[in-house]
Amino acid sequence: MRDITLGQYVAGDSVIHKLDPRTKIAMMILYIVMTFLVRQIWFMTIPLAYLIIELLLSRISLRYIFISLKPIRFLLILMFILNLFFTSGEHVWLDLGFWKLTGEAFLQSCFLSVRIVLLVAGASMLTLTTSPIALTDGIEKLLAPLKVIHFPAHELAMMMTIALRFVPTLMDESEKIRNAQMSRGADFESGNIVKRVKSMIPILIPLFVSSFRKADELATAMESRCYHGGDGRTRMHQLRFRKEDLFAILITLLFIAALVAILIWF
Amino acid sequence: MIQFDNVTFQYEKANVPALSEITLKINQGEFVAVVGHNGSGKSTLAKHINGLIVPTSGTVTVCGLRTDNEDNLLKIRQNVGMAFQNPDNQLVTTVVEEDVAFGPENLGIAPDEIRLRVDEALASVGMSDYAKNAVHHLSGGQKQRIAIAGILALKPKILVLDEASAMLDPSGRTELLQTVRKLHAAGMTVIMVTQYMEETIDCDRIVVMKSGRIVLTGTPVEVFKETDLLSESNLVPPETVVIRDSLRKLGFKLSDSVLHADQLAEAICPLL
Amino acid sequence: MSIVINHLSFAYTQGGKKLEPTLKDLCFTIEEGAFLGIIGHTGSGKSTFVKHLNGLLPCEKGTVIVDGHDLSEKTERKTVRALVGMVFQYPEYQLFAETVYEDVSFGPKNMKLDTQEIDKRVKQAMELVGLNPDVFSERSPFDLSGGERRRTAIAGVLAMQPKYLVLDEPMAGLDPLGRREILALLEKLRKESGCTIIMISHSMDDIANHATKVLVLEQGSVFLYDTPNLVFSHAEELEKIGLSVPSVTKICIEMNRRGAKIPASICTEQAFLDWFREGNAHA
Repeated sequence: MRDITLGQYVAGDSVIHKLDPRTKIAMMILYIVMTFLVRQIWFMTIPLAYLIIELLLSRISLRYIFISLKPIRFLLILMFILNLFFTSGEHVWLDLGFWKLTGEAFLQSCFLSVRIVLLVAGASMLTLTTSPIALTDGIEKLLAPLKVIHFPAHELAMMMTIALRFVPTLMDESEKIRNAQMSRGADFESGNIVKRVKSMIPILIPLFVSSFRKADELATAMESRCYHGGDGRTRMHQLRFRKEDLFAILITLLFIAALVAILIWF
Repeated sequence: MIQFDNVTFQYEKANVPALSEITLKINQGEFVAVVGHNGSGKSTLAKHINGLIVPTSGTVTVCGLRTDNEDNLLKIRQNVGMAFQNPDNQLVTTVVEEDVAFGPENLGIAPDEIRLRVDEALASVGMSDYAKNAVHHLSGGQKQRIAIAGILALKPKILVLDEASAMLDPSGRTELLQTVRKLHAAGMTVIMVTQYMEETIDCDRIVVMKSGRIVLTGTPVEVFKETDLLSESNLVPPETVVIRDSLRKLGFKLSDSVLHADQLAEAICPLL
Repeated sequence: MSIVINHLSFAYTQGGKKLEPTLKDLCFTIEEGAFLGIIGHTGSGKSTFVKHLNGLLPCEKGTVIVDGHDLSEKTERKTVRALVGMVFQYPEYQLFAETVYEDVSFGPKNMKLDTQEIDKRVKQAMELVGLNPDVFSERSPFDLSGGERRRTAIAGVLAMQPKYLVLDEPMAGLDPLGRREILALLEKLRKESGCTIIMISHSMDDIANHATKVLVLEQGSVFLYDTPNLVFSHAEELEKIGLSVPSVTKICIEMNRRGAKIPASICTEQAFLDWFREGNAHA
């Protein structure tokens, strides 16, 4: 859990890793559009092919994709079953009187499950190949034009940076406080919901107090290090949009074009 | 280099001033330790040096710039680097080199120049191998060295340590002290606020504070012989000095300049 | 009665995998009434070890038996937590209640004592740590000075009237006065209520001056377990594993290097001065 700041990021130096985070965000958005354009399960092969190519290029083990799918496995099963029940169709495979299993329902269930799996896997590709810091930089840059309408793009990015930095620290701290209160006989495991929520107070209050202290000290330290907002700030790591990025976007657009062509054709 | 002129400071809700009539001059290249009990005002004094706190009355001038002029602050903070007590609460980003770059980035320095400064700063605290590491995996002593690297990247002339060793274990404290001594030897002016008298033995000058006032300043030899004044200020000299004084009471003639264990052994052995 | 540690080993798990063991086959007894000092550098397993003394970490291999209660039994943990008080590093960070009184009473309340007994214990504990109940009871713990907050937190543990008090660097971050107050409190507890003190500390001077027994941990194993003067007479070995020795020991080593013959077992100022007084040297 202490490694949460690195998110799911798997360090590497593949072509995909080296892409500008802005490119990767754009690619992910286009990929999502792609999966939503598809209306029939057989055409899902196109986003799937795209995903497989990206996965191969990134040299990330398939295992990580499975790990990212793990949290949604129950949701997937539930959705699959519900769709079997609530989709009507003509090709009856099984008739139990009160409920008919139809071929259409089965196909629909498969289709939706595949779409969700592909969506989650695609989004994971972004976080697996992009460090949270690069991601933050990318988001800041992409939102920068909105500064004209006083959208706090820099502040938002700075907040994300600090949050990422302090998540593990605060987790350590809550563990320490929990141990201390347990040593004083606190019981966090028994009783009903209300009692359990109440028993969290001796952890939450010290955690709040400590977060405020941290925020205060951090602000002082940042000020001492000449921080004065986003104006006139430079970055050591410059985001560079290179020809590889252009290439990646073009390929993604090509996939969409192919998909649209096929959709119109059939 | 740093000049406190009759500085008094009172926190808004407090009844008594945290600092009273402080006049102090610190010269370029000096290594000054500021000691005092909890609440003696030593941290408040440190925070005046880079304008985090501005005097209620009196003035603080740093490198010729007055801290009560808002326009000077950025310039002053470039010249005065400050490290704080809790190593965790002064690092801003997740990755070591990104954090070191934070200061120069704020100044709007060109990326290539920042890269140079970061590498240089990490090298001078001996943390180059950790450039790409995650901050939260480092030990306390390493975190403090990164904090100092972040300061060095601003190329300051003065380094202020506000109880920066208080939360470190002995090896972390040694790491930090060695780093600071090295920087001092390279010409940095150092002001070190601390509770550990052992750390002050090799300083040029010690400033002793009590209830917001400076009660004593002098070289370690001069300060450690004022046992009564130190204990009135709730301070204890380093253990070796305490033992030296006890031996004196037994009748041994030991000079004030005996501060280290080896010096004490050297002085006492001929008397056996 | 005592705490018996028998073949205790422990390894943390990370991502489903066991890491290198943090504790390796610890075997010793902590006698009642002792003042045990635990030393070892960061990562030697000190904090992990003390978390086994009240069941915060499970006994995976081996046993910890506190006054006959085997901590391997889950049901015994609650009993043992009332017997073994724990003061962690920077304990003031655990304060949460609106008043000092309420915070100190948290432990006794969890022990399901009656109101009168709780009141008695809270006041006793506050007086022990030097916080006058009439002055401090109704104050907010967040308005106190650093040293007062630390003592409030310690009172919160003392109010449970533990037979064994475990402290992880209780003096960290305090000024010399604050340090002296805490050490005096520990001595008083041991003398007056016979409380066994188990203290992790980096200050070799404090350990030499106060501990009756010293446990040196190195990479999760017992490196030395003996009285302070015998432990610190192994100065060279201690320095080899990155630990320092008391100031007096340092002086003695320097003196012996210059031809003096001071026994290696001298590690406190008292013993050092006594050696001089006993006519080993003439001023």
